[in-house]
Amino acid sequence: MAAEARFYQMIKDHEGIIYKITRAYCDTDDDQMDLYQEIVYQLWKGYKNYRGDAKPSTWMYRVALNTAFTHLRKEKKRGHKVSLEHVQINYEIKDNHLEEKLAKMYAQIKQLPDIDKGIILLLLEGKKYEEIADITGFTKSNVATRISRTKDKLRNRLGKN
Amino acid sequence: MELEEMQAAWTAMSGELAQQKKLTNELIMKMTQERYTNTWNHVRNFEIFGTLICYAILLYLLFNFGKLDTTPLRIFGSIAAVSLGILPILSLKSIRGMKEINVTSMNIKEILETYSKRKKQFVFFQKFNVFMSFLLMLVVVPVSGKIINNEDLLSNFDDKLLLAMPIMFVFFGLLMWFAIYTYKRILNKSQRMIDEATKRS
Repeated sequence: MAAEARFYQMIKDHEGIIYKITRAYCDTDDDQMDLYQEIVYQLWKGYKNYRGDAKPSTWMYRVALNTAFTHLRKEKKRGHKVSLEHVQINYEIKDNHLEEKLAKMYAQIKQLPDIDKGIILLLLEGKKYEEIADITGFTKSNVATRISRTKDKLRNRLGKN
Repeated sequence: MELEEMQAAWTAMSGELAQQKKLTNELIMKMTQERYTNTWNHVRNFEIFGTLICYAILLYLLFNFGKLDTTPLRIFGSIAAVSLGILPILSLKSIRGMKEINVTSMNIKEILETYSKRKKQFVFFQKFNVFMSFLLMLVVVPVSGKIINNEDLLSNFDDKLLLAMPIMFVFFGLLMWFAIYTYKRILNKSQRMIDEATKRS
């Protein structure tokens, strides 16, 4: 299979990852779509250097989180958005009860600092501490500390609500 | 919501999303092309416009350098030429440095460190640019006076210039104060970000 076809296949196989990250880092549909598009673009740019030493999902998580992190900082400063008239993607969670839970979950995640937000997304995705450390660049013990702190924060908020 | 409950919702969402295949090859291609064109155009227009203006003035100055017939005017002309030549390069270098953070080969910690380092460089370049612009503005008045009107303002220091100089100093003083204040704020913000990232790592 040609590299381009392999790239398309990989993105399509893991498109859910992009949705999950954009939903955590954006407040509006437009911002979400803008970040979605930027992540796909960065993946496309970086694919030529992807040697397959990490799992595709791990690599995609790394690029997507890095993009979310840097892109949102630039956009906040620039207050500028590209036209999205050609691209619209709508994922639907058909189960209303689940969507309610997800809305609640994302609302809590959005209150976390950006780095902890990324770490918690990786944890929810079922990544082990070593993998999270590898993706983020933090030590395993730092990841553990951050997760423990985040759990406490979530519990405290639950207590207050 | 406890973490365990979140994990259950996450798994259910992953299951639902796995059923939904929204992306097609055409859509992916369209997204990358649109973004590529937009990014490139944005950078290109901005950079080309500023650089063209500086280099057009530089060329005009070099072609007319012979009109500068006294040593002070030649020194002022040389300072203006050097400033016009290096200002766009410094600007492009610092702006590009900020733009070209490679998110595909680094991890979050490295990105934060690079981001912060480049921001410091950017701030340094911008401060230097403000200083160079000030210098340029000082030297360009007598140089352009000589080239355009054949008038040596350095030898014939008239009242109009005497009035314009303090206004120019006040204006640039304010500009420099604003630039330094803004850059200091950017640096502090950047430092807070790196502190947060490296805390307990």
